[in-house]
This record gives sequence, C-alpha cells and structure tokens, in this order.
Amino acid sequence: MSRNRLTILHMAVLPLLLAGCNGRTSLVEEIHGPVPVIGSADGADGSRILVQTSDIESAAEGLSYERLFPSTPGKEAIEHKYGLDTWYVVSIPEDKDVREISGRLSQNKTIRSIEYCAPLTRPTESDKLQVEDLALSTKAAKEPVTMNDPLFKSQWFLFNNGDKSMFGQNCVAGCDVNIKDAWSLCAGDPSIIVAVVDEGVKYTHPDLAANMWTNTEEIPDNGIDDDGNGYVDDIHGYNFADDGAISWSKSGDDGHGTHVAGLVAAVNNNGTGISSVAGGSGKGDGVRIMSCQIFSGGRNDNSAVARAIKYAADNGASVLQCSFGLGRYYSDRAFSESLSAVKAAYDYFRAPENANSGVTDGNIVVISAGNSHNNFAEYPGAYRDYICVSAISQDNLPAWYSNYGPGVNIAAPGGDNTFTLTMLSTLPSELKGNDYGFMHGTSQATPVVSGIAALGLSYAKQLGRHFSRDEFEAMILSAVNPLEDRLTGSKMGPASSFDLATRKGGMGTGVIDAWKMLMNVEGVPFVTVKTGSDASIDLRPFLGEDAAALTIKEVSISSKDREAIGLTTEPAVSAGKMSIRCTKAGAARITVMAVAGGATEGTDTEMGGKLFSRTISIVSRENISSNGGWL
Amino acid sequence: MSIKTILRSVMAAAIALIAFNACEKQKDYGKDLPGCWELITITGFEQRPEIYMEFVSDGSFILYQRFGTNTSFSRYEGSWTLSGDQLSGKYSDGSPWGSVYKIEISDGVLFLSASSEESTYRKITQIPADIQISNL
Repeated sequence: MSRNRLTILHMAVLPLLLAGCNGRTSLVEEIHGPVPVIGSADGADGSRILVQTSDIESAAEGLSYERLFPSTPGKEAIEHKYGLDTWYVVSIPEDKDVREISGRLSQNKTIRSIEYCAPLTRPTESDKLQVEDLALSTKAAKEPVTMNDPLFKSQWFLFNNGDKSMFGQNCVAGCDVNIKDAWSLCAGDPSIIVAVVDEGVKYTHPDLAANMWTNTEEIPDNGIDDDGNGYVDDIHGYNFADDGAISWSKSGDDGHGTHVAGLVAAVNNNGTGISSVAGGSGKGDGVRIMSCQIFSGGRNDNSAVARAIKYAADNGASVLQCSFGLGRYYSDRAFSESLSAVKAAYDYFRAPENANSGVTDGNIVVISAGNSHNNFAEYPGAYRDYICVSAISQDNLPAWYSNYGPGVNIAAPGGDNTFTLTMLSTLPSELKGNDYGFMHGTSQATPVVSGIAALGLSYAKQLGRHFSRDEFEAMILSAVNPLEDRLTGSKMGPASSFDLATRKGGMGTGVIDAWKMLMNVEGVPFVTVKTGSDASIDLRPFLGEDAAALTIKEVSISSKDREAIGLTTEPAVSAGKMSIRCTKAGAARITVMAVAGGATEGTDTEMGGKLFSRTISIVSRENISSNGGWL
Repeated sequence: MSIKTILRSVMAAAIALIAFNACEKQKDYGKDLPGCWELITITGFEQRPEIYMEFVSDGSFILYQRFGTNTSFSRYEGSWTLSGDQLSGKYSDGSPWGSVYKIEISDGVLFLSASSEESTYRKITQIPADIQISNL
C-alpha cells in the first residue's frame, strides 16, 4: 500500500473510530477504495451523488453529470480559488443502486470526495416546535410605539415594558433588543441584503413584499435565465430544493422561512402587521430579503444548501441567515469533511472577493445553535467561523430548549412556549389562514441577530464607515447585555425544571442589543488615563456587559504604541478590568482578544468558542477630567 | 560712568521690565478667546487628537473631540471663566475641567499650558459643518 493510500485510509478510518468511541455518528459510510464515501445512503437521494474532482470526464465513467455550482459570469476565478468548480452532481441511472455506483467511483483516483445527497434535519424538528395560532391580546402596551405597526405591542423582543398581563408573569421589563433607541439612528438600508436560507419566503406577503430583494436583471416568468446566473426566473431568490420557483405552502411546509424573514425585515411603519429589526422607517429604507429556499414540503438535501449559499454570495447578500442544522458533528473537522461542498460554499460566501455590503471586507454568517437543550451547539452553527445563536425568553433567562455550551457565541430573544406570547412574525396565510403567527426557537433568535447585523451594516453605510469582517463580527459579539449573573437557581421548562447554573459560560457573550451595535459602529470612545498613575479600565464598553465572565486570550500592544505612552509593565486583565500604568503623555491602541462562548476557542478537533478582538484607544494625559472631556 | 549712574540705569531697566510684565499680565484675553479653535500641537502626542472648541463671549463653550479615524466626534459643552491668564471651566454635567490652564494668545494662536503639558490651537472661522452634523 502506498504511503498516500495509507494516509487517506487513516483519514477515513480515524473519524469512524472516534465516532465509535463516543457513540456518535460516523462520517464514513463505506470504504471501498482510496476515496471515502461521505454520509449515509439510507434516506439519501438515490438518483444522484456529489463528486469532487478536477477531471470529471474520467471521474464520471460515462455517467451524466452537471456542475453543482453553476458558474456566475465574472466569478470564475473566485469559484476556482475556493474549489467550487470541482464539484459535480453525477446522475445515477434508474437501474443502478446509488451505493453500488458510489462504491465503484470510490476506486477512481481522479476523485477527491464523494458525498450522498443526504436529507437534512432542521433543529426544530427534534422538539417539534409548533406554530401557534394567532391569539393576540387586545391590551395596549404601556409605552408608546415608535412605528405604527399595530402588532408591534405584542413583539416583546423588540420592546418589553414588563406588562405581565400581556407577556406573562415572569416577563422582565427591558428584556428586548433595545430597538426603539436604535431606530432613532437607523432602521435599515435597501442596499443591504439578507439571504434567508430556509423554506421559501412568501414574497407576496403584504408585510414583506416591499422589502423583498428583486433581481432587476431577470425578466419574470419568461422561462429564460436572462442574467445568465444559472437560474431561470429568479426574481426574489430561488427554490434550490425543487430547482424552480419559490414556494411556501406545500404540504410539509410550516411557514418557517416567511416567519424568519419577517423578524429580519417585515416592512416597518406601514400601518400593517408587525415591526421588524431592520425593516426600515416606512420610507422604502428597509434592508432587503433574498429567499434562498432549501426546504420544500419537508424535502431538502446538502446540495441545495451548498448552491443556495453560493447564490447568495453571487447576488449581493451580505448577511447569510441560517436557521437550520445539518446534523450532529462533534468537531469542526468532522463537519468540514462530512459536508465539504457546503463548507466550500460557506468559505466562498465569506471570502473577501465576495464582500457585498461595501462596509466590510467579507460577508457575515449567522446560524442557529439548535433546540435540543444539548450542552453543545449543532453544526454548521458550531463551526468557529460563524456566529452561532442561542435563545432566551422574556424572563431574560435561557429558553429551556436552547442548546448551549461549546460552539455557541451569542444569545438573542427566541421565545419560549411556557409563556403567553412567543415570537410574533409573518406567516403564509395559505397555511393557517392568518398572515401572522407565533413561533419560538433558536430559529427565531437567529434572525434577530441577522437583523441587527444588517442594521449595523446599514448604519455603517450611513456614516461611511468601513471595517474588516472580523472587526464587524467582534462588534456584534460585544454588543450585548449581561446574562451570566442571572444564571442561578432553576427555571421551569414545559415538563420539568432545569438548573440555570448549567448554562453558565454556555450561552455566548451575552444578549444582543441593537443600540449597542450601532454604538459600536459609531466607534467606541477612547479611554483617558492619568499619566503616572495606576488606572483601571472597565472593559464592558469593549467586550460587552459580561466582560468579567469572558476568557481573555491575549492583550497586545505594538512596541511603537508601548513607547508612546511609556508602558513599563504589561497591561493586566482581570474580572473585566484592565490595569495599566502610563508613564508618558501620548496615545496608544491596545487589542484585547477574548473567547465568545466558553473558556476555549474552537479548533479543528475540539468544539469551542469564537475568538474575537476589540481595540481600545488609550489617551494618557497629566490633566484629565472625570467625564473624558478634552479640557 | 559712575557706579551711581550704572545703578540708576539698572533700576530703570528693572522698572521698565516690571512695568512691561505688568502690562502683559493685564492683557485682556477675554476679548481674544471667543471664537473657534482647532488643536494643532500638544506635547507627548505623536498623532494629535482632533479637537475643535468654540468659546462664546457669554461664557459658554462647545467642544468636539475624536481619537482615531473610525470613531465619531464626542460633543461636550459647558462654561468657562477667565481670571487674568488663568482659564478654568466646567462641563454641563458639573464635572470641572481636568486643570486650570495658563492662557496666552498671540497672532491667532492660542497657547494653553498646565503642568508640563503645552498645547497650541489655531483660530478658525468655524467648526467644520460635517463635524457638527455628525453630532446632531
């Protein structure tokens, strides 16, 4: 056996052994030859498989094939860089078994990877979270609303005045995302596009239609791919599950995509229905929703997800909203190797070459943590590159169902069915006869974060600001209200209580706050310290309100800046404060790197948090005022 | 020249110097200070912060300050008092300035000093509109 073959076999067998040790899902279905076949044939689409190769003519061995990712004019070089031009869908003849063909192709040395087109599971399915009938209280909230949308008063996650008769006995005033303050600065920007990768979005919905992204290069319903992007009549997105027109009310659909879209950008201030995080001010200024449909009547697979993500990148989306899970993996490497076409598409979406907002140098991916109340997040959310969202309810505590622990980066309101109201948003009326309804889950928490990310991009655009993708993600992760101190005692779930201490350090950096996000976009103010004196800098404005609970990985300052403020001892961080002594007047920048979610960062082999860095501007002066004013 | 003459000359020079200094100390900066000023140098800072101040003759002031390019200007306001060449003040939130500054104004340049810190500001016709707008 050649050395190469041995290595490949090790790569294939090792995960299988590891999986066996801990009773977890195996990566490898069968090992016939040098190429492992990834996934399970059970339940997979028997008519096709995914093949990665740089020589498809040899690899297909006479079978018909097509590119998994249609090439987009002008993007060929980027597609090649991220390997998207090496993925193919190979058709299996009707009289052949998919397992047999996969086995045969696995002997072909020109093939790098083979994946079954496997059905995916949505995180909501394990708990069967139900769409509840619309049953709104007619009571008005105690505080006036900023937007004139009549159902705003029932959206506690946007504005929670603590009205127990409306939101439930245990609701806590202020447990919301502080949107009314944020709206005073910015309510959206139509150039910012959020791709909702989910069930199809009902683009004709009265509270969504005006904020739908529209592909102006495509002529509707003419059966022609007018813009040559590989998809016919893709006006508001595309149905990758069925390879056709977007749908939202097939048997098996529950309106999930339409609900998620409404939380991001239902049209604000139109006197209709609900408000949303980034739905504008009623002047056509909401962010736009692109429907990237990957579920249809319960049908889906990994090839649809991969294609949907690339489509979002190629057609202008700067935020990828993903409220789904792709199965249970227990390390970043296992996920990457099991769903390598999907992983390649995510890499492509985040690539600097595809930065779409004009604000950041890469697009932002936001994914749900899952609803199985497990002490780890599901993938792809758990992967260290993406922002993974857990859920709280209106008592300002973790929702009973939310996954927590390694892989989780930030929390957001997601509702809880033990309360009177969960998360109110748009629904296709075809399903339950109403345009609005309640759902709950990390699926609902995630679009709140996606919406706030889009709002942040909108505000940055308004101010003419530019950030690196990493900087912007750090701004999201630090735009939070505290959660850790409340994680004591127990909380009732639908069947039994759970110990809140088990969630400590597992829900992420804190609970997202829209106002704080916009303040981060404006820029964190500098800190003035007195030259020659010991100073203690509160890190909460930089790392979020739970700064004291974060694990700090590194504090760094350049030698030039060190000299500028006469730093003779290293700055030390403890309990959310930085101790520093400057011996010279001057200015410097100090970077603090922390872990978002848990004590350790994720690696290829260990699930963990996401590293993020904030830079603090220090001004050392002999004469300082207590309020930071210059004089 | 007799010793008496020399002493007389030295005395006259000393008196003249004292008289000159007395005139300097009595210079009324209260007339020159009102207007808009931009920070141009400060001891110890390689990269100077962006500071714009407007002193109004009614004793109020507005201050805009920014460190680094990717942040917004912060706006402060309050009141100032001039006593001889000593400039002091407080912010509208009641916080006193970080120091009382010795002031000097010459040829459209404002010098402020306190402890070992010395800063200079140039007079400008108005604070740039985009800075004021960004703080509305």
